[in-house]
Amino acid sequence: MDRINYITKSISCRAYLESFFRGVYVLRKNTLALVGSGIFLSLLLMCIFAPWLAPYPRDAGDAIHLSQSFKSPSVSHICGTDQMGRDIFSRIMFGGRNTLLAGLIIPLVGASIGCTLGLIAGYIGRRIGSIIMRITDIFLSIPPLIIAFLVIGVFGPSLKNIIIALSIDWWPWYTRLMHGEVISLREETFVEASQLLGAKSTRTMFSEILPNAIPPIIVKITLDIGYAILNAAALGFLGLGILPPAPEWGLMVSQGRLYLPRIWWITTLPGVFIFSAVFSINLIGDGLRDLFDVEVM
Amino acid sequence: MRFRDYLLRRLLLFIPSLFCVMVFIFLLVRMLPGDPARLALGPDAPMSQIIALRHSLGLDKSTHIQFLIFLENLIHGKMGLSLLTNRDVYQDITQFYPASLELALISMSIAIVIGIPLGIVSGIKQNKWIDHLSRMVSLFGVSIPRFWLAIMLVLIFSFYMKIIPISGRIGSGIPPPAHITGLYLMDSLITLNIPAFVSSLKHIILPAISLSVSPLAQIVRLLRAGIIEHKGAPHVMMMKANGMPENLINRKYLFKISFIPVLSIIGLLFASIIAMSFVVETVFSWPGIGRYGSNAVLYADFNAIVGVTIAAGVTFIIVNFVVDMFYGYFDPRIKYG
Repeated sequence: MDRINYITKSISCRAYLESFFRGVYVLRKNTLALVGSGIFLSLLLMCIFAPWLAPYPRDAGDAIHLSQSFKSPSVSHICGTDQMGRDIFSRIMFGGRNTLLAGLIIPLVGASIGCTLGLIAGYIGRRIGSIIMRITDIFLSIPPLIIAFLVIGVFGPSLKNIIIALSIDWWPWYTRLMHGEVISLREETFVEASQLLGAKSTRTMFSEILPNAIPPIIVKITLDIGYAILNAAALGFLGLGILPPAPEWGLMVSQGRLYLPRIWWITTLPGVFIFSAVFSINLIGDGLRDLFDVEVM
Repeated sequence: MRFRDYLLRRLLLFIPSLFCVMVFIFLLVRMLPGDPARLALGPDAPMSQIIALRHSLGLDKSTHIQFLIFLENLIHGKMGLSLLTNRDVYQDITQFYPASLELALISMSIAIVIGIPLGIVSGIKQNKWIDHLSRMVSLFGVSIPRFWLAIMLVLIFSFYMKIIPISGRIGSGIPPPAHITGLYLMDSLITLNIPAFVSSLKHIILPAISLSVSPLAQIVRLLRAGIIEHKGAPHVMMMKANGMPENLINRKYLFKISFIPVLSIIGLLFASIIAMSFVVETVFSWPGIGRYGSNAVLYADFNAIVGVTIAAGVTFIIVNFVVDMFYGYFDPRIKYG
């Protein structure tokens, strides 16, 4: 592992990419991470191709077949049906599109804002840097998710607002992580060389420092996808996300609560899907963490 | 620097972070679309009434004066009326806060009491079966949606096995214990009210378990990583080479230093418990600020949202402050500088 790090830090972007692919090769030997990628990819594909794969595509909306309501899981309805007679499995496939979309976008938006700010704060430093870091500290001093509640309270519930609200929650962590990485990389010889060769500071920042600071960021993004899915589902569960009749995993769990304990499948099965999505992404994240040998929170 | 000075310095830092939280909340509320006075009076209200209300709410003054009014009201315990309960939000929060605090404290205790031994065993017996087991447990813990776990626990223990009540804070036939701290478990212990104690314990156990799984998992993971990192450190090796008993090394040196990363996220874990209590309290109808807050967000009750945010923010800052006090014990290298 030290070897990979040494190579990435000493040569160039190309060598970095090479070592990245070498890493992918190593990751292939990690069974758990492989299983995780398999589960996550199949869930993702299942949701992307939901309109073609779902057994009852019309049931994703507000279709009503009262004669079919509350059917327990069987061959024709793998996960049973809900109070309106809609097929739960089809709704899970469509609902995953919203839940997983939020889970994938939130860390990416958070990381792109946070990393840019962290890079600027770490490399340029001085006044701008310390102002950025103070603002980051303020955001970090408010409990996460509370900002999200405040933003959704002010702007009203919707999937878009959940994504905005949770991205606001997330960027300060990336700023802090990136800032730390940049500060330690700034003193490396290759950065000095780039400066001596007369590279502009943007070039040094984005093509010398940034690629070398990537590994912990990738690990953090991967692990955060899991947390983002959990938080988006929790907000959906409270009715603060997408509005019915559109499906969303968290919302579906809460809709089934009224019919417990006899009608257990409406609540239980969407939860199993949330769990397997987060579980698989965590397996991938743990694999990447071992691979890059970094510890992120 | 002495410990007392360190404490004072931390206390002084406490004030600006509190101030920043207030400014942030205030600014976000001011970004509200629409005019609060018009919203309060409805669309048909005459202009003169709206102007009068704007004046009495202080909305016609400049922003920084409004902020000072906001702070002044806060100090006097006035946060504006809640639309849901028709009382001052401050009263609501003081009523609901102890229930949430009790739940958060119990959950945190469960996470710490189970998480620390599990993490230590896992780190010391690296790659043995117990390590694999506890890694699996912690992977499950971070992956499970807490609201769903809560519902599953209710389904198993309340609906099927019928041994634990479904919701609430204390049995309906049992009068709550005398109000001393507001924490039912503690109050009933102080007044030796055994039935109340047993009943509130039964009510708190499921929500506390569902809140504690994720912090527990993160404590196990960090502690394990810390112990594995320091197990092979030169100073530990030297102590071993000198023939120091393993137990003594572990107890006196290894555990303490491995605990530092855990300590640094305990504040954060507490915050995640506060945030997730919004969801878990809703599942269990737990009469705390989490349920109050999520209803407030659902019904766009702005004063209540602001109140809950302030309460949660202040709690978070205080917890972090308390956690900082413990650093010196676990890391003697800290010079309180």
